Amino acid sequence: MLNIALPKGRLGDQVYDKFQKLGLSCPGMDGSDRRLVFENAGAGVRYLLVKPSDVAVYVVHGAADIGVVGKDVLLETEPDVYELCDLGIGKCRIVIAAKNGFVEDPSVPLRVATKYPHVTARHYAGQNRRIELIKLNGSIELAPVTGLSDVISDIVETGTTLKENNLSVLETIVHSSARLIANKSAYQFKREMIDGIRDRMEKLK
Amino acid sequence: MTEKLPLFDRIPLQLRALYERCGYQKYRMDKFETYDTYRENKSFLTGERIITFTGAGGRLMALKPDVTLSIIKNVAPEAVRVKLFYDENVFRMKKSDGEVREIGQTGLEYIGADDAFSEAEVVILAARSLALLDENYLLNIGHMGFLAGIFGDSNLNEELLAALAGKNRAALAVICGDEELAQTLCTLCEKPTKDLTFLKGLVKNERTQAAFDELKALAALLCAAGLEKWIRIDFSTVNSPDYYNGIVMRGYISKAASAVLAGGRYDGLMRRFDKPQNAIGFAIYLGELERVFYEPQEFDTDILLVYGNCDPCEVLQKAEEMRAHGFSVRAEKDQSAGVRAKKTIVMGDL
Repeated sequence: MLNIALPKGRLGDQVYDKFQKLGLSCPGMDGSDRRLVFENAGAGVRYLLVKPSDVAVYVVHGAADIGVVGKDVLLETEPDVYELCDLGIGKCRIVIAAKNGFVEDPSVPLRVATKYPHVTARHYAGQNRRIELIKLNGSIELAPVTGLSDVISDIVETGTTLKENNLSVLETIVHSSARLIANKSAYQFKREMIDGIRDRMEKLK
Repeated sequence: MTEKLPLFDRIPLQLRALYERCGYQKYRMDKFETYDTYRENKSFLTGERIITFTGAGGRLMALKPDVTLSIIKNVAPEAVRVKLFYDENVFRMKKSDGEVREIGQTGLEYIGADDAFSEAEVVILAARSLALLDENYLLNIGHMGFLAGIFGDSNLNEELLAALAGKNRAALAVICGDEELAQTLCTLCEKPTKDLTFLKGLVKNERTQAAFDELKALAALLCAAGLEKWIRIDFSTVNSPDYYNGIVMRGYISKAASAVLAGGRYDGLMRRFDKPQNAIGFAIYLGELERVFYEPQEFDTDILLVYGNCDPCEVLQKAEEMRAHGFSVRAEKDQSAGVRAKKTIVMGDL
């Protein structure tokens, strides 16, 4: 049995769609079923639906053998896993954004609100720029509007949310997309099955 | 007697017997050492912080975070060949949450190992150690010298090694500019064979040839030991090139979610301590396996002897008599302690 951790939500639906094309579907997965675990014993797979930022946690600890997770999460948490392939979906980027017309004062530390403290700190350390990090868990766009921070470092897909909040992109830190990851120990013992999924996933692109 | 011990307590004894049968000697070390031993080689202990405190005279002391460094520091430069094993608890602080942890670490070091036989001996012992933990195991073998030959020493940086360790073909292809090479290195995972034909395409210069010859000699011995089924040549097995210059090992068991064994040839680390010998070794992280090997015990004792107000001499005699028959006997005045026994014997009146 191969345990697969998928992110709940839109990306998860897209990813499941791909697994379905490989013949690894599960009854109830596409409907309104509220369960978090789905199993197809015949195909030898079990899906676990978890919070997107928790997928890597399940995989690192071996509760899931493989999983699909955004590169943004991998960069932030640096889990010890195999990153087997880029699925080419869930494309987005982590950017620095500020209120329209913001002018940076390089003589004072920059206040940055973000969900990605690690990625952001590394980015500014690379520029030798002193910053004050403010860790938020959601509605990051609100921070510069209310004066909580000067800029934000956040994930952007189309840029609509930024525009609607009168924010604009200053620079892109990194591009992200969904990745197929595997637990290092599970990969050794289920290599054929995992490699098979990876190869067929790549052909789907 | 040892068959009666729970699996987790039995393993260190079985490992010890395995190493002693091959003539390795037990190494015992102090809990504390001066911090200087570790300061210059902190990166050897990746991702972990050392727990320090101030000793007498203001010397900065460390709770030992690792055994290998201390063995290397203490080995005489004149010593020709030293074969040691250890079974110690080490202390580390996780960088992520600052949590202090005590980890059981069992390992083996062969200082002065520089021929094909000695290298194979250590790898075979690594494989046999894993077999004791779980019959479903795999030992991955890589070669830092091979990688240095392919990429050049100066290119073997953190970024490249991280891409390799993660089998991340796309990232490795960007770094080295060779998609085919990235594909080969990230997917290579083969059982050792006598001629290692699957590696021939990677031999490009003197250095890769030397590493190839070394791996070939090792593979032949591993095949002779009948271990090929449990071993994989896998170049995503990497370790810091500052310390490791030859073969590197990573061991996995099906019961555990992360590698339980790590090691390799660390001639580079020996030079950092100004020691002329070459060396190879490995460590097994047993502490983290406690949960994996936990077996719930149904009973606390074979016999619960409840003696109430009986004559103490009689109680002693009765208990010893039953123990002489091989039973474990727990004597209690009454049954209030909630002991789970296979059999309860009540003596006299309560």
